[in-house]
Amino acid sequence: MFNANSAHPFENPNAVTNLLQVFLLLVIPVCLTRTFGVLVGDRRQGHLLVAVMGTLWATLLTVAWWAESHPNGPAHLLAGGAMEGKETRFGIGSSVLFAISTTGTSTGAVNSWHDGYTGLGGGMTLLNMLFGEVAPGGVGAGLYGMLVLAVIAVFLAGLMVGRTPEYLGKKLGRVQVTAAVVAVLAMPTMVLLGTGAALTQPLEGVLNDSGPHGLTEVLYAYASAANNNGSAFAGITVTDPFFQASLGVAMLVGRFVPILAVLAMAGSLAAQRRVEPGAGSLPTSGPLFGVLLGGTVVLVAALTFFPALALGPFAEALL
Amino acid sequence: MLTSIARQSGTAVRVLLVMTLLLGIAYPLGIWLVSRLPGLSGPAEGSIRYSADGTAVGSSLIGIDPVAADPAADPWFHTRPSATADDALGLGPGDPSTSAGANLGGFDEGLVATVAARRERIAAREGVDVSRVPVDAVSSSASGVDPGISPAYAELQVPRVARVTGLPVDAVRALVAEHTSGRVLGLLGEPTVNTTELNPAVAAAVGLPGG
Repeated sequence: MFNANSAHPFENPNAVTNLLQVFLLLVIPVCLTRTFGVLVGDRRQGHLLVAVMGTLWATLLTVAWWAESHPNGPAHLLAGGAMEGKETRFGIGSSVLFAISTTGTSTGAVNSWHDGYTGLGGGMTLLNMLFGEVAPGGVGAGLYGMLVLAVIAVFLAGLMVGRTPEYLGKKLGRVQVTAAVVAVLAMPTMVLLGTGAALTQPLEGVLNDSGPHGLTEVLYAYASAANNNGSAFAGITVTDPFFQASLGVAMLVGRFVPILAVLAMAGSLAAQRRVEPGAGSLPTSGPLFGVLLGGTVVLVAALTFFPALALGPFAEALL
Repeated sequence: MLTSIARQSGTAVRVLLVMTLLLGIAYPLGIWLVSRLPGLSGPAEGSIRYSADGTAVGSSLIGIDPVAADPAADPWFHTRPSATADDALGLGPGDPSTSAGANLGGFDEGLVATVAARRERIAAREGVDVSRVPVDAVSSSASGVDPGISPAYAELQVPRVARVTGLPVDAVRALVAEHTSGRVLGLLGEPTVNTTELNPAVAAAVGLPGG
C-alpha cells in the first residue's frame, strides 16, 4: 500500500512534514562531521568536511532544480512541465530537495519518482550516489566515504609536491593509500561490471524505458545497490534471478569491502605515533584543501563514470 | 581469552535486552501515546472523513477521482491522473489500496501519446482549448492517490462545475479558495487545492448526495 513511501499522503501529507523528513535524512551524517572534529581534537577539520559536503549537495540541488524546471523531453514539453511522478503539494522544489538529500544519504526514501525526472535531473540523483554517497553520506557507514577521499586528496597533494603525505598528524604510507584505493574502487567496480553484465542480458520486459533513459535505469539500479542507497529508477523490474543475484553481490561487495579496507586503514593509523605538522605539511582545514577535496570527489567519479553517464543521463539531457 | 569472550557476550546480551525494551516496546508505546493526544488522534487514524450519518467515507488525504453518474453532467472536481487507475489514460479512479507512479521518462513515446490523449479528453470535458490544460492535469502523480490539484487546474474546472450544479461561478470559486492551501511560510511546497475536501463541499452547497 505504501509503495510510494514518502510520496504517499499518509506518510508525507504536506510541505512541513516533507522538510522534517529531509532534516531527519541529513541530521545524523551532518552532525557526524562535528563528532569527527571533536574526536580529532580540531573542530576546523569537521567544518571543512561539512563545507565540502554542503557545496556538493547545493550544487547538485541547483542543477537538478534547474533541469526539472527546464525539461527537454517531448512528453514534458507537451504537458507543460516535468510533473510526471511528482506530487502537487511538493511541486518541483520540494521534490528535488528530497531527491538530492535521499541520494546523498542511505535511507532510500523518495517523495517523487526519480525515473520520471528529466535526463539531467535524474542524472544528478544518480551522480550523487556515484560520488560514493558522500554528500553528506549515510548513517552507519557514511562518514568514512568522505574521509577515504580526504586520504586520497592528501595523497594527491603529496604527489604534487613530492613529500610523504600526512593527514591529522599521521603519515599516509603504502598500506593506508592501498586501503583507501580499495575502499574507493569497490563500488565503481560493482556498478560498472554489474551494468555491463546486465546489458548482455535480454532486457525485454525488464526496462520501462528505451534509449538513454533505459540505460540510466540499469545504471541507477547497480549504483543504488552498491552504495546501499535503496532508492530506485523504479521502472526497472529486477525480479529475475540474474538481477537478484548480481544486485545482491553488488550490495555485499559495495558495502563490506570498503568497511574492511577502512577498518584496516584505521587500525594501521591508530598504531602510528602522531607527528607534529612541519613547514611542508598541507593544512587540511583551509579552503585550499576544501577545493582539493571537492575536486577529488568529482574527479574520481568523473574519471570512473563519465562514459556511462555520457551514454545515459547526459545523452538524454542533450537529445 | 575465553573469559573475555564470555564477558563480551554477556554485555551483548544485556544490551540486546535493554534495547529491545527501549526500542521495541517503550518507543512504539511512546509514539502511540503521542498519537492519542487531543488534536492528533484524527490525523493519526488517517484523517478519516465521515458522512452525515457517521459512516467513514474516505480520507481527506487520499484523492480518488470521482465518477459522475452522468458523464455529460459532471459536477465534480477531478484529481490528477493515477498510474493505479483501470482507465488506460489513468483518468479514472485509482486504486487506493496500492500506490505507484508511472516511472516513465520525458522521451517515452507511450507517455507522449498518453499526455496528448489526456489533454484532448480533459479539454473536451471542460469545453476549452487543449492549450489551457495545466501540467498537473496530464501528469500522473507520484503516489497515485494525490488529493491535490493546482489552483490552475481547479480554475479550469470551475465553469463546468458551476454550470452543472447551478451554483454561481463566484460561489464555486469561493469554495475552491476555501479548500486551497498556500505555500507554508510563503516558501515551502506549492499551492494546492484538496479535491477530497472540495467535492463534498460542492455537494453540500447544492444538496447533492456525497455532501
